Amino acid sequence: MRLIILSLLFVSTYASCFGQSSINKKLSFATYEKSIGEAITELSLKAKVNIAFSNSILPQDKIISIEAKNEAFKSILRRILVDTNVSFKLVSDQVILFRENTRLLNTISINGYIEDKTTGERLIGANIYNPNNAYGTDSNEYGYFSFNGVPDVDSIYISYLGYETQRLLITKESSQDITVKLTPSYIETVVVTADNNAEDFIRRPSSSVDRLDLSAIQNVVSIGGEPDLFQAAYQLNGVNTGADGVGGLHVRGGNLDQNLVLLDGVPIYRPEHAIGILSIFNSDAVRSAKLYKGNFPAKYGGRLSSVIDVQTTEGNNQRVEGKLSVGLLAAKATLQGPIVKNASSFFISYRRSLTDIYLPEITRIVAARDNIDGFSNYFFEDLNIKTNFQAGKNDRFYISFYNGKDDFLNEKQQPVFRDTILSVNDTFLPGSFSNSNRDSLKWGNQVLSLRWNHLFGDKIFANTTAYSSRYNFSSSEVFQSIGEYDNGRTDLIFSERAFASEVRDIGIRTDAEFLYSDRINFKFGAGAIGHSFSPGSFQNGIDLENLTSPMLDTINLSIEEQLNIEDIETFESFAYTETGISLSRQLYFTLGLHARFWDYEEYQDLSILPRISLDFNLNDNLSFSASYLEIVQHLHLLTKSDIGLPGDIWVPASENVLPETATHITAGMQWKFPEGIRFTADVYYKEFDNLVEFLEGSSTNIINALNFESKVTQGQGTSRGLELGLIKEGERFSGKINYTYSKTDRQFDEINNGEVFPYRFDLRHVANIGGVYAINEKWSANATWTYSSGINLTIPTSVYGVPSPFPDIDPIAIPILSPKNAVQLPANHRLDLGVNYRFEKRGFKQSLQIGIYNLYNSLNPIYYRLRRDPDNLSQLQFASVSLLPITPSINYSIGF
Amino acid sequence: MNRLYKFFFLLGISGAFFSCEKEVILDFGDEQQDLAIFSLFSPNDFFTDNHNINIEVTATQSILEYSASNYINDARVSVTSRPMDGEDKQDKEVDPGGATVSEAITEEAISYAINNSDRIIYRTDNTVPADGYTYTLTVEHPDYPTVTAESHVPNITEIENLEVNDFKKSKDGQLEGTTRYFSETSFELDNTIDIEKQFHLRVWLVTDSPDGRRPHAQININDENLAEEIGTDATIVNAVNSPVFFGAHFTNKNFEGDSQKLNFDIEFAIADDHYPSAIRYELRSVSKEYHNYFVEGYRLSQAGSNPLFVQSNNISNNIEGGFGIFAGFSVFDQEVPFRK
Repeated sequence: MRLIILSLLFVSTYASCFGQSSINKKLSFATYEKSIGEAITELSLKAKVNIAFSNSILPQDKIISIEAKNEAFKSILRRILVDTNVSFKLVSDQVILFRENTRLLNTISINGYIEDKTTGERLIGANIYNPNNAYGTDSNEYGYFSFNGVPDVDSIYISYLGYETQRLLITKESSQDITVKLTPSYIETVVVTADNNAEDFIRRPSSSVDRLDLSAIQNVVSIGGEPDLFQAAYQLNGVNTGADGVGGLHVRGGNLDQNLVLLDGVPIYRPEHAIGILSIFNSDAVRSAKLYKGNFPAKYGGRLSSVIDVQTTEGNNQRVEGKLSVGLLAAKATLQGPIVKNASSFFISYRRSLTDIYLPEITRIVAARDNIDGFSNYFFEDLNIKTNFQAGKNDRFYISFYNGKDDFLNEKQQPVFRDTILSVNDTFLPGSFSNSNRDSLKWGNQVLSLRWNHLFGDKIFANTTAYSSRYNFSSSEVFQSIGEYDNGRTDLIFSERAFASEVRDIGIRTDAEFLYSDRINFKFGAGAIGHSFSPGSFQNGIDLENLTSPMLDTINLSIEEQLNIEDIETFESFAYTETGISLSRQLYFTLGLHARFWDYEEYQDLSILPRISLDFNLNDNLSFSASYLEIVQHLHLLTKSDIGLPGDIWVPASENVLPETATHITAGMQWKFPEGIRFTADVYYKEFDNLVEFLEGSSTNIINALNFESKVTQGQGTSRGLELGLIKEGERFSGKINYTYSKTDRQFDEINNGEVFPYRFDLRHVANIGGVYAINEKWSANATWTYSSGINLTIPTSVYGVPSPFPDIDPIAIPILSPKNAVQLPANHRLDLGVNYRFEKRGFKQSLQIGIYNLYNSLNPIYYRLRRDPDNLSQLQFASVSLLPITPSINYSIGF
Repeated sequence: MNRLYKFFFLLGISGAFFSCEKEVILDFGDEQQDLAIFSLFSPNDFFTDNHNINIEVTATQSILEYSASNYINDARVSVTSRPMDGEDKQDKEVDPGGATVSEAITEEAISYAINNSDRIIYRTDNTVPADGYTYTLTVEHPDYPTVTAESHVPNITEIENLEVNDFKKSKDGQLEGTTRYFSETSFELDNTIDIEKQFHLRVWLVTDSPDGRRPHAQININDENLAEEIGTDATIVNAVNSPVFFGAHFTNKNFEGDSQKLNFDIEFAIADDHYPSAIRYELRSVSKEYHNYFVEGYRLSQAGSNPLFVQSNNISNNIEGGFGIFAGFSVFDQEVPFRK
């Protein structure tokens, strides 16, 4: 065994609070008849700049003399290194020297896992890089990395946001598997950052990808004190939503159903609670989350506009931990710990909304104001369970389970009122009337997955996932009206509707990674999914007249029993390959292919889709990227609202309703400045084809498995945008300014007279300004201001009547609508302020978040509606409806 | 469903956080009011007196000022007809001179009590709709843009081999003093003449009233079997849900030129002392304009209007320069005595 020559030198111990300015600062420096290593050491001491280097990369026999007067540090260093084939760059807080060309040197391989030292959790997306040539890699979603082609090197660096960067000494023995344990930083990073953060050293296509940092989510004001992944995503460039998040995620002009939302690799069909205000992701159960707005890796497919890849917590395999938290909106309890220390752990977390504590009473009071006896109730809950265990050196298994549920009930009983109706023979009949209705909605997701990590040798990592995912929705409406006339006649109108839909997936997929060298890597995989759809509806009604003695209790219309849902079975499979090549230290090229096959009855579709991306680093501070991808989606969400209601139904692509496709072109740049500041700019252009919309007047109420094809139409769309970001990341203060200009439109031959119309979430201007300041170890304060153009609506402007064939039935009013999405709501904006207090008492870690959502009480409309003028009930008027005025946000948590 | 969503949203979520509403004044620009036409004509419709062409002319109104009746009683209305082979056949009784456009047809204001307002109908005196003719409508009024429309009377399609099983009492939905009945029905459509036709099937209860036999109430058509036979583009409208649009709206494009046997269930509930005398089956052969208007109108009426939950689209219509429907149809009907 031979030790690699190792003489890493850290020649300065000064505080590390400096940045780009340190290598630009001017100084006078002189040294005579010194080796290059000695000269560098002297320069480091003189300039008070850390310089890390290996003597092995420097010429040992070269003697130099340098004189510099009021000259920039980097210029002096360049003069010292002239003709040495050694270059330098600034990484974090130090200057690192590396050899320009290392091809001729012997190389070794390193592979292993990156873990959190305190919990044993594996870390996703940690950077592993070689300072000698600036190549590197990152850990995958299982914390695994493989780093090939490391030359006779001194050390590699492992860095991860929120953790102390670790230097790993390399010897020949390091070719074996290793596990690197990173220590969390003392002060948490507290902003939502792009993936290409200041710690990134390696060259990877980086535009259009955002990491949703969990500590950031928990450190800003949230609705009702409940930290939420989607609320954080709404702050990112390229993500559009309505006021307060009503409407869900619309990424770069995409529809709601074009987001591939993955929970531990398993697709989720409805990731929102309520109507998009909250996601189903319990923040205490989420380990990492990434949002791909474009430039998708080839492994992802099946949705046109984004990928939201959420990994849940694995569980602490070192010690038992527990956490309780309660806010205005929900309460959570979490327990995790080792089953077998260092080898196996469990995680369980349960969240339940608290709305049903106060909602029935509040709604009862509201109803009573209208002289109605009734109430509404709503609650949701989420259960995450996960366990994992190591089975030998090369195998690890994970079992994940998620169950989410939403439940809404509305009951209303209108008291008896007097009225007069016109009978068939033109006589007026006075009588007493009463109306009642009972509405119920229930929906939820269930996910079960088994994952198997396996190492083939030391270069191929494979993960195989078998899963089932189910989304079900059911609703029922019962309406009853009784008229008891003074002449003894009794009429009954009774109607009921039921609606149910369900999507079930059973799938299996294998993803593998193979690092051929430090410059070439391969990713490949394949999978198959069986989809089962059950959209269906049933409605029933009776209209009885001239009853003598209605006995309503005798009614027994068991609607659930009559709700006969016919299944639609489809099969989908895919395979992909992706090759990443570092053409040079400046240029990284990725070529991917994603093939997808769809089989539904007589319809088969095979799509082979290219994905290409290029990253070019002009220098250490300025980089550019570009990408091109084509993508296909064989599942359609039929929605009348575009905002994602639980009753929207998924249906398959067919011979008559073709799969949706998109072409996405992006380009981006990043420019780093001193003091942890960077500027990002991205432009994109996206074309959609075969988008699905309901035909005029269609409604999900009358959709079923047999008829949906005839009630939809298909068209095109485009979206283009410019996204600008200015980010500051520091130990005490982190902040951001985001701005997006975008334009998104649609065109359907059978809608809006074939004319182009704006998408509902075509928001021209969106801006976010936010910052978090760590006052001390315990206290931090945060503020966020958001601004967005208003969404677009189609609203009725005129009306005419269609007469009934019966003289005793009023004409039906047919509305004449504005051109499609021609009415724009006013821009919405708000300011959120909050403080966080973290402390530890008697061994319990505690935190308190207090904030104010919408501080200046901006009444941001979410839609317009027609209502009766409160001052003149015979007159109609439009009213804007807003959801959240100034609202407190409180959350307290305690853990051990 | 939309009512449900409204409550879900407004009471369930908004109520918890004290959501608020405020009036907004929306500027729709210069709101042009237009004429709206409603005219369905047939040579043999049970309901159409004298089988003339009835035309109702109203005007659109601001959505904020809608009232059930906005009839226009001083419009100039004219109808011309021509054989479908292209040769004009004009309303010779009105304009024997054979002018290109006939004079305005006779205007008759016929009042029905509907929301205490008059219902005004323009009616041809002599033009009786007939199979194989195209009819062109022109309505002019100084305050509105002139509108025109064109339609024809499709050839009649007969029901053959109508079979109605004895009605059975349903176990569910019973109300004291009432009985809920259901039955299975089948008939065949001769489909050898026209390749593309649209149909509107309605089923009625017939009672003996002082005015004579007349359809009394609509019968629900259960669509499970029928939808498979008449195609996925069928729209089956529950009678209680929409008495105006009720029935099964379908085309024969899936019949592939063959005659088609249709099987479906019907059901109704009625007070025990009001038994009907017969079941009336009515098959309308309708024009494409009729079919589209009814199907889309029904969808729109079901889709709701709350723009948060529904992004509706305008329905199609065949009135150039205005709104509404001017469409012909022919009817084949058959009654079957009611047997309990």
